[in-house]
Amino acid sequence: MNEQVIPLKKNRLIIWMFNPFMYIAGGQALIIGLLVIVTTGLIGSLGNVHFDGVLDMHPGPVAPLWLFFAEGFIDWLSLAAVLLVAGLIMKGTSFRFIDVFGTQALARWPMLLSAAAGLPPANQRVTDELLKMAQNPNQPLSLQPVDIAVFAAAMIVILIALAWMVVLMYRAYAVSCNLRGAKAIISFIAALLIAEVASKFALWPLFKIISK
Amino acid sequence: MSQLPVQCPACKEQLKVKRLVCENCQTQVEGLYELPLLVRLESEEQAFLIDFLKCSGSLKDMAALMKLSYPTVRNRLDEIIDKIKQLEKTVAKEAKEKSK
Repeated sequence: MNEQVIPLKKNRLIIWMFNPFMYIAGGQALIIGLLVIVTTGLIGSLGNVHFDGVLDMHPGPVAPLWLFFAEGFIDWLSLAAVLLVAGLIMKGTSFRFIDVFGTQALARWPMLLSAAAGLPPANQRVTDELLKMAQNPNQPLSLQPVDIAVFAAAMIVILIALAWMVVLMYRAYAVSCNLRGAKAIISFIAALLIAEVASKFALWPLFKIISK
Repeated sequence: MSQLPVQCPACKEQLKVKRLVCENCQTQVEGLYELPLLVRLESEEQAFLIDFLKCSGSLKDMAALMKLSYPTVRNRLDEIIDKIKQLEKTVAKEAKEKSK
């Protein structure tokens, strides 16, 4: 077989980091992606880190484990379903639904890093202090410098992971639906915004259940 | 053996076959022959199509052979299909112009 059929000029590591879907898609991506979602939920539950929207990640209230799993699954399904519709509207050629769902599940893997970054209790302490300050601006902040440093480092990791995940989500969409250029970018942004709103609506009743 | 040129290096126009030679007896045939459509594809694209035929047209087998994902291989095939359609249009246009 001619190895040059698809030129692989780019470094393989870079491809694996930003477009693993060149090598993994379909059922294989779906299995790995589902494991990622479950693991992210488990880690999130340890630090009370909630993924309450396709692109959201916040320290939040103590909640039952099922809610952390539900968040991950609803976030994934919201975006995958909207992108599937976008792909069907925009498509130039036929594509497999399992590729859309599988690659979108796998694209969420940087959230593992976010969940891990949210584990240190210092994040919760800083968040609580900031919330207190927001409610009562005259109250002075009582934070340890170490807590601030840990919180700042966690925020940097979370922001990088979020940007990385968006890049992966876009690449997953482009590869699965065979879309390129402005058509792919515009439809992806629109789908992402719709899915963000849809996931918020889908998760809202679940948060109401635990707040009772 | 060097690769068959399909485009004029000077003006980028489609090349045609003017002379064919028998290596055994040195008989030469002269004329003006069109290059077949598949020959006009890049060598990488021709190799892809040969592999695809060898896989009995199965994209799944092709993906396993190339160690790439199914949609990546399917997208590559779609690109080649688009190129073939474009070439067919060019050939039809050229034939129409000639017949005028």
